[in-house]
Amino acid sequence: MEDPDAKKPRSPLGNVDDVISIVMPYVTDAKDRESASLVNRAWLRADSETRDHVTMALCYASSPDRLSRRFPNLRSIKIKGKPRAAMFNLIPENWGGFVTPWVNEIALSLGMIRSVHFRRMIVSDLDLDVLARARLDELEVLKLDRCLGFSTDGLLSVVKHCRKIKTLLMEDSSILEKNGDWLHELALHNTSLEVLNFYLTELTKISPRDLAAIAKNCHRSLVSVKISDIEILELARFFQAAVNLEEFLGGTLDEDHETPEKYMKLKFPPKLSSLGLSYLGANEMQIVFPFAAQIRKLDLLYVLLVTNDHCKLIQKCPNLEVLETRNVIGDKGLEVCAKYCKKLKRLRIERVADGDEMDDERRFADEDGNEDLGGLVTQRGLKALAHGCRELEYMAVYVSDITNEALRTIGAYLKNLRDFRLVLLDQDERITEVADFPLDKGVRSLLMGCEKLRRFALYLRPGGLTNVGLSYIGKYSPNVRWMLLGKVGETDEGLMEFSRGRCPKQLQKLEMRGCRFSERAIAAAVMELPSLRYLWVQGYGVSMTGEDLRVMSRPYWNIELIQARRVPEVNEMGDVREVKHPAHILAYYSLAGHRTDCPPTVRVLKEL
Amino acid sequence: MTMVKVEDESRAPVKGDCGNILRCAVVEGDGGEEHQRVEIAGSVAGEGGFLTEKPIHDEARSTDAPSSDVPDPSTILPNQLTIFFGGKICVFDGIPPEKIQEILGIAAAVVAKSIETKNSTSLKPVASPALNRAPSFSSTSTGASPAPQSFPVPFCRSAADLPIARRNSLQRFLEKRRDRLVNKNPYPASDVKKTDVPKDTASIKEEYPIA
Repeated sequence: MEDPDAKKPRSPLGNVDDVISIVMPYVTDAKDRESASLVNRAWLRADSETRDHVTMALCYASSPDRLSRRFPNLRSIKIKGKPRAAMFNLIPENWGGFVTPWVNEIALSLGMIRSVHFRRMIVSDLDLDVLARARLDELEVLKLDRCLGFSTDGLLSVVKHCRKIKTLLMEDSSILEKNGDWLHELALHNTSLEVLNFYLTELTKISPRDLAAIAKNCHRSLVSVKISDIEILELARFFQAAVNLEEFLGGTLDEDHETPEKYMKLKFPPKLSSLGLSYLGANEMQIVFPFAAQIRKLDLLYVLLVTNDHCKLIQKCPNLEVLETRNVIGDKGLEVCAKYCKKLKRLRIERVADGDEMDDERRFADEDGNEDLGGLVTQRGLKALAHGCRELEYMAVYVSDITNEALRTIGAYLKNLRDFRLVLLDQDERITEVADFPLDKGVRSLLMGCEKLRRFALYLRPGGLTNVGLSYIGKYSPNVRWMLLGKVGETDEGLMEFSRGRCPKQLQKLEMRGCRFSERAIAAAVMELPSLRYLWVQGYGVSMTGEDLRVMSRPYWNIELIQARRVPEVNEMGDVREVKHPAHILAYYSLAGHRTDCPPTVRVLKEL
Repeated sequence: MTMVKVEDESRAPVKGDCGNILRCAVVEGDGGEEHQRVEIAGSVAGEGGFLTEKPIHDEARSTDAPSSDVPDPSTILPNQLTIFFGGKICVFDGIPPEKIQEILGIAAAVVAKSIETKNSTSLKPVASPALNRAPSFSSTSTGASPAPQSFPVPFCRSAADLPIARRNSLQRFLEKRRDRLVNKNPYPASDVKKTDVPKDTASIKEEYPIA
């Protein structure tokens, strides 16, 4: 009904701005939201008030109060701190990424927060206590993902105050363990738990009875449990009670020559489809055979299986979608994957360490004698995968050898690839062929063929990619948002070719390691990449002062240097040795100005 | 990166700024078994600068290992390291070249550090992630940082020297796996060749039963 007093004509549907406030909550894609918020102030307001989730790729890109002013009704937040390199022990432990200011802001202003995810950040018990007391039963999800600085006291506080918590994750975090009270508290009071994850932690004071109690109390909701090294025989009651469990990772097996059958009577939950049993050996492998056909995700990163064992197991898993393992799978195992696992979407092949650890792997070597390619992944396996597993979307592999042809094949067949990461290991003595260098043409073919590629990592050896090859990466990566380049290119010229003209226009985050570029070239390249908001470099032409980096000085662009360090480290033999860590550059856009919480090893390059 | 073990049980640890890193002893000319503390002082003349290779009879090397034969003075053993300092001579046999480079590097750092005035005291070994995952500062601190562990030594290595970094979680697993192997099989055969490898680990245990 039209209002006769209205000064301006109104459409029958009402004001567009009214409509957008109703429509906006249905716009969920972050990029769409970003675009919508730029239209006008009304749309900005509509986005701000209804934004549900924010991911901050770097905590120093903005400040907590800016976040809460812009998005006061946030329900979910994910914040990342340390550079990705921290997962490889390259970043000083005290580098930064403190959650304290964020937790304080949540307590002060973000009263709708239900889900908190901190990744690679420093978290204290006090932080956890503040967060727990601020959100109480409304906190449903807490993920302390690869964090450090807290103890089981902090966990206890969370569990005590947040009685309705559904997801509690602390995977790969460094936790000071005082006792198992936090788990006991969960066992006593929680009935809503869906996900419990302390995988890859060193927590040992874990009571199987508490786990069984949690499984019983939360049997309706509990779907995913990932634990530290706890003997799985002690989890029989847990498995029995967790009737809806779909995912179980961790635990530990201990092959015992006296009672080789002891694991055979273990019964697993009926819906289990995602599995990873640490230290699983060849003898015990068969305990998963009864339900292998329903397995969709398999974590073999921490098992004690050799190549042939992998083959035996994988061929029983026709519904496998996600596989993570070490390169002991070998080309042979990948050929089995290609033959039997047609639904494979994600594949990650990590490396075994060099030197002494390689001997361990060899001691498990298969009985094929001369034809020992177990433990090596090469072009042979990758080509098989390209032909056989056309659904692949994510592929991250450490290879011992690679050819242009294999890369071409990937480009030709794996059209769904969104994330491709290749690391070429140091020359292995078992590889007798000369490397098929340079890989320029193969890389070009891959990039041209995999049009959906958004994330790309290429880590080679000197000579693996020429300046021309690097220019190909620049020209043929139109959709790539994240890139890691390791030991590619030859001279500064290559980097210039990469970044000029037809360059990766959507590249937001660039990591480079071991490339021989000068500071000047790096800075110049940064200025050419229109979307770049984050740069990390290690192993470059370090100067004494870093002044050449000022070529990329600009407003809102923070430039930091992590100094070269010699870090004394104790290895497992008790020897102290000094490990050299070359300098890093870290540069990023920030609305919050320079960092004020740097440790001594981080130097901010301030404006002159 | 090769693991450097500067080990020799008969050597006394070096006190002072070096921490536990360098161990060596003094060999008197008469082959006596005295051990003395060593300090590396003065300037480092650069790689191979003040070091020479000189065969000197070394009897005090280890009380366990059999003493080495007297080398022919006219031959220079390629893996022999001699350090001259403060009027004394320090000799090591059988040190691989890469360890020698490490020692030189450490010596350079020690000298550099002794020149600088710092708040930090002796080098505090930071536990590797596998060994000890306790955080390096108290759990209630937020911004506190431990004693600085950096030496602003200009780093002029070629970028290509950078070894591929290892993921922490995998590194921990590999070390734990090795511990398990050692615990189950503390005294493996000295060379486990491919053809010698038994079919599975169970037979390894049969050959080397755990007492």
